[in-house]
Amino acid sequence: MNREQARNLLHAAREGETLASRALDSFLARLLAVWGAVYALGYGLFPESGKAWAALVVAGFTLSFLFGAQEGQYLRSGVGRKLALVWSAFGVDLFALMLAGERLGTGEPLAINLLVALAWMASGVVLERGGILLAGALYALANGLVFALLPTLYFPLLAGAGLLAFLFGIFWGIRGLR
Amino acid sequence: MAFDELIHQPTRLKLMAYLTRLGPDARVEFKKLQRDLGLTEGNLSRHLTKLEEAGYLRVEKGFVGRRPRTWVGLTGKGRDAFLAHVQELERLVKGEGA
Repeated sequence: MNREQARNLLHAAREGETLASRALDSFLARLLAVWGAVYALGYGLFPESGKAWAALVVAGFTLSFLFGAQEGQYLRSGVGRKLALVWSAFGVDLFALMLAGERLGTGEPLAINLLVALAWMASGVVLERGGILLAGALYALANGLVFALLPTLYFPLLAGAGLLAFLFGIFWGIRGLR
Repeated sequence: MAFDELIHQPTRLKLMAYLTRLGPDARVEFKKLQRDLGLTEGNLSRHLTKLEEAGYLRVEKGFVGRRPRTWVGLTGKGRDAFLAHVQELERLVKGEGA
């Protein structure tokens, strides 16, 4: 076998790896689109309405678990199980934080978004994707800075970030289907 | 030399790369594998049989609800053979072998 043939075979192997990555990415892309939409609607239209937020969060979790169940019919892996654990733990933490927020008053939006960032960073570690880990870290940093320095813009910027996440999730998902 | 004649075939190489990337304990449903790799049912079945006979894959039948499903996963032997084969290809591309 010559070098050119070996190169072509390596190309076939990389193609196989890329196809597998897309299979994993499509689930994350759908989650990103769902939660981006929750943020865009929640922070954009009903930032102060607890009832509207509760409905959006329930819808978000319902869709996320439906997607997870659908994915599990075709693909089962240790990575998938770890991702399910990360996001289930996030759900429990979110619920606990919302209860605490009800009792203690304001301040929970930042904590919730730091939890979101942590869940994304953990997903990046599980998937061995540095870009996702970095995006989670930047999201945490941006949240802290805006919350501290531009508090009046916090909700509008979160709505904008949600819209961006929604569009990125759709784009990422469509690219993964190709 | 770690060239593996069985994995050497491009479709089987792509299939092994796909399963290796998903992780050591991953299992994929037959139809998804067929769709993602763009293969016909018969073609995929033939490749899977050869790889299973060599002990590189495990094929399991099961049910999701009432629907029968076929799950495909990589064995440790298959993973080692694939990684060694790719290493050998990379060595050749770098000009360290012939």
